[in-house]
Amino acid sequence: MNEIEDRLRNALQRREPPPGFAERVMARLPRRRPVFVWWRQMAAIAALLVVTVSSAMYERHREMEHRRAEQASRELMVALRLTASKLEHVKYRVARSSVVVKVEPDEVKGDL
Amino acid sequence: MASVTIELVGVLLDRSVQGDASAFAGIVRANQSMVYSVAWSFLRDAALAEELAQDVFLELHRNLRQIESGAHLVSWLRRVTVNRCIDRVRKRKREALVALDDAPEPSTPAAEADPFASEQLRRMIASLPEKQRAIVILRYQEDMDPTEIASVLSMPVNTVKSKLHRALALLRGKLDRRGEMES
Repeated sequence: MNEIEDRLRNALQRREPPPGFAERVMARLPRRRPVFVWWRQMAAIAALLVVTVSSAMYERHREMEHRRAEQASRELMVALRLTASKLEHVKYRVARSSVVVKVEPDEVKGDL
Repeated sequence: MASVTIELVGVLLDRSVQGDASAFAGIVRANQSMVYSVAWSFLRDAALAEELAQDVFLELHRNLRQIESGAHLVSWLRRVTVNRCIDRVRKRKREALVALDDAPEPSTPAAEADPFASEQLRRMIASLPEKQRAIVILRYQEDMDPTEIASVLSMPVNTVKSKLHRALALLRGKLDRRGEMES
């Protein structure tokens, strides 16, 4: 068996491919950007989205707070106006009732 | 392949996965002789062998992330090359386009003690059934033992041994008959 095995080893020696083989393989590789660049771009886009959405939400929150404050201010003004009007009314009633209730002291003594 | 080369291929593999094209070119250069030689011994056609070897490296590039180490890469290349060779031979048989005996000479023949006898033997190897041919090429060109061949071809070790034994007996018989005819 050894003789034929030696002959086979001799006949089946490795051979080099024609010159420029590796270059031809490299030329056939698909032109695509490395994976890590793709991941970096995706991370940057995600970060940009987070910042944009957060600032939009913050802006909306601030606007709502502002509107609420204006509403509260308007309501306070209405309440003050109502209160002032009520006070005017009470003052008038008090003034009127003091005229009606006015009694002469001599009349009271005479009754007693 | 020496362990130093396998370690180097492992380093190149890590860099290739990161997108380093020059590292992938290094992997091609370190393994081109093995892939091309297996393809040439199988197909006995320089142009077909180069095309097939290029396709194997392109497939490797597409599957780089699945390769775990330098040793895995070399074993993967052998397995894919042999399987592609078997497919190509079967396809060629169906199409009957090229007769094996008409196959052109290699572009870079190695120096041999007796070129005529070696050529005769290579023709005989090319006439073996595909699986036996793959086993003989991996055993005597790649110096792999039957366990490694069984792993590459996904078949039991005993099947590899019996097919190898049968192939050697067949080749010896052919050589003996040829020797008798010549004498």
